Amino acid sequence: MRVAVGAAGVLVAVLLPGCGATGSSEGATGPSGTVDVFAAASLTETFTAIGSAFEDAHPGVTVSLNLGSSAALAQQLVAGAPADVFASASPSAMEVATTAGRAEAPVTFARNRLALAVPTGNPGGVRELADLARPELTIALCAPQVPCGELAATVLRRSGVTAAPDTLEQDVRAALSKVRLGEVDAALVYRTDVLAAADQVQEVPLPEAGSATTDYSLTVVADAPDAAAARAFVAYVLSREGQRVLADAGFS
Amino acid sequence: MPTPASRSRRRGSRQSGLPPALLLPAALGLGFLALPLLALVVRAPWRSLPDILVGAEVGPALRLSLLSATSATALCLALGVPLAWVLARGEFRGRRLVRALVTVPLVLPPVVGGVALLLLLGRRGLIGRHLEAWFGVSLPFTTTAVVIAEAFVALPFLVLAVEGALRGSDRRLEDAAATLGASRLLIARRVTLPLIAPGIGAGAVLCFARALGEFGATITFAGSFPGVTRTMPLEVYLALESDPPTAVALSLVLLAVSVLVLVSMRDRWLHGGLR
Amino acid sequence: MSGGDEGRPDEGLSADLRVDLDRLRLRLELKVRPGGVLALLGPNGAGKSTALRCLAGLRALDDGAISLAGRCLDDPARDVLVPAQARGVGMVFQDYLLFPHLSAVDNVAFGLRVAGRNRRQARATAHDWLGRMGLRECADERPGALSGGQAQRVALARALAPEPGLLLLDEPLAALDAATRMQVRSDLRQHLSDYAGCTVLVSHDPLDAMVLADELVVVEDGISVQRGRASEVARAPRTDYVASLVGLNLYRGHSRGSTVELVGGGTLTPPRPRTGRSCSRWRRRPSASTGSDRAARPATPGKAGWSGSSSTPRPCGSRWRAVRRCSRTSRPRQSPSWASPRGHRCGWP
Repeated sequence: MRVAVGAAGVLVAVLLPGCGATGSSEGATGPSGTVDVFAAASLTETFTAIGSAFEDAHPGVTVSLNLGSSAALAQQLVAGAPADVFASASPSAMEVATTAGRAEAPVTFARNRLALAVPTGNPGGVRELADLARPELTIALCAPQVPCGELAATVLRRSGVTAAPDTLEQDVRAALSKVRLGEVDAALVYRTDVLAAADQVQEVPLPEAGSATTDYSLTVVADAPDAAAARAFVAYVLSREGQRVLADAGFS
Repeated sequence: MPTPASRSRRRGSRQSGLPPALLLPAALGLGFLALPLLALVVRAPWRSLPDILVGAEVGPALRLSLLSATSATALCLALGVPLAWVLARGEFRGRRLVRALVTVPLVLPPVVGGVALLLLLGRRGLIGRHLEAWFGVSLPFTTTAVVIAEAFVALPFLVLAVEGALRGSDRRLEDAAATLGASRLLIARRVTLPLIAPGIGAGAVLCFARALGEFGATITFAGSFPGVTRTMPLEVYLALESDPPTAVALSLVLLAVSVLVLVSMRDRWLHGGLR
Repeated sequence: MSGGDEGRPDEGLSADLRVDLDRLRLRLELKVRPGGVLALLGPNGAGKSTALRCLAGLRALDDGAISLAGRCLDDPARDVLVPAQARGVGMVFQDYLLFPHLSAVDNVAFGLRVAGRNRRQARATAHDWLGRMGLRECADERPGALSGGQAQRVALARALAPEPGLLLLDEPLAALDAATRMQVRSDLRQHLSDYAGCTVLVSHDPLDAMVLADELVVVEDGISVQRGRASEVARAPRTDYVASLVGLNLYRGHSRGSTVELVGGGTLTPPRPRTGRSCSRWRRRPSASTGSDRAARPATPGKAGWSGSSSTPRPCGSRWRAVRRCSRTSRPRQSPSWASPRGHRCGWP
């Protein structure tokens, strides 16, 4: 019995320190610490670039990215995950976070448009949105529960097209990878995703999508462990440098 | 004169050969497994459960999960038992390599398994492109693809269980059957197979459980479409994004079904046939 | 014996076994006539079981040949190897190896079903066999529910049901307790005498070998060190092992009501009357070393056996002659005989 108690004590001693929060302090030279950024998957390339530029500008700060679907990230925040910044691709996801009291005043920082992506060479011969209704084509859409899927559903409804998708993916990146691998003939993804995978994917112009945009909003998370660094990061995204990176990627 | 109490104490201490030092780690292990499940049950949305359950998603997903897991288990049995036989009884060079290959899906992340299946059987895959060109068969985004993905990750469990059973079986009984005139196939069918049936049963149960819970390979290779390829785990994950209470309710259903199936299968395999 | 067919009997078993194992080189020649019983006797590791497995076809010879009823079963020189399935050999294993998932009758019917008989016929024959063994009521039991003696009889029935030309018994009584062994041994003797094919049995217990077999072959380190009839081997052991084995007296005779007429003359009175062939086992008390009456009286079974230097009483008319040996391997010397009354009581096995 004594051995068992001793073993339990060792176990607890080993596990306990790992549960501690990462502390931060505002040094004399400016913000320092780690900025945990929860960002939508479609911001992968842009926020990686912005993150390293931010780190160069502010030595002592590390930017750590947690990428995923906006809705999933919002749920994680609601469940109490520690984060500093939340960048959402859909207003509804941001609303979820705000309602739960995790988000302070969100600010729009980018706008993304829906795009019709096909594999290089357009093997399915897709020329317009109505082609998505062709049953012989293999189509990938995002599931309606995720922001990209919401947007796609809106566009399709407005155009009166009943698509025949073969798969409703979890997030826009999963749909994109299906196009890159050539497994599907077409998918509705964001314009930025098409540009990010320009070597394997090409875009079919979509006049209907002109009005189908989604606003990306950004906020500092309430009770952020590194609040000062978080605010600096948000400011950087909204600054001219940050906006240029976003514009280059296809955001407007 | 020993009292009844001391007599029963002596009887008890002699019969249980359990070192007391094992009790605490065992209890911790049990708690580790059982407490999260308990949390799931306790925090489930019991009040809205009936509404969720009659909702559109549950029925097709559950049916699909059970159908695909059963089909995957059947496929694994058809392929895995002979493979295990070859591994256990065959004598050839590179046997260790083959066994290592068989266990690779165990350590491979399921998503990677799904990607590998795509690269082989997808539209542009090594074999897939020929399947499409010659037979017009396209596997991704079909229920067949779900079965294949689940079988891929579950097969090692069956092979290892059956191989273990074969190694533990008494080969002298096969000698006895040989002296009675039975050919090798007959020995395999009438002597060895009945003897290892419990091992095959245990392997099949493991296989089914693994197939039922498979997520990564399925979503990567087969996609996610309600009723066709969206099994229960995929449904749960999707629901988690938009509606966590539904996700919990679905998880509860999956848990209940799994426990039911596993308990009932275990009974049948243990009590049937052999003593 | 690899070569021409001359000199090989057309009937019976003729085997020249040559096998090279890690720790043993087996070089053994065996000949058994149809209906005959040959026992391989020897210490553990002598190669007896290996010889049996070669005869059964479970192991191939490295050299030599096996032929049964004129049919060559194994001849490496001519590249002939008949697999176990096709040899028509029945084998009873040391642990019986009954199929645990089949009932006793299905076990016995197994060989018949394999040979192509339909289920009903095979089971009927199997039931007959079980009846002959006195096991009719156990027919539907699983092997796990049978006692040692019953399992042994089922194993024997299973081996005999397909009517093999050669019967092999590997330590058939080793797994039984002493009381069962005595009963089963005498039953087995009866079954073997009814069986028309050749029998080879392996044992490390000399009593089993002497009771069951016509001819003994003592095997040590893979070679035969002595062979012959049981009484001959017992009378003149050639090695220490054989001598240590036969520190027993074995008498063969014919039971006639209340007495036993011994083969070499003289009579014994058994406690229970029997008729037919019989063997008796006779032990002497260690204190018996003088030529007194008491010394010649047999002890009850189970008492201590011989002391260091053994004496072998032999009937000589109505008297018993005792021969004392000074050491096991030296020539026996005579010592004065002593008279003993007729009608000695002796213990039966």
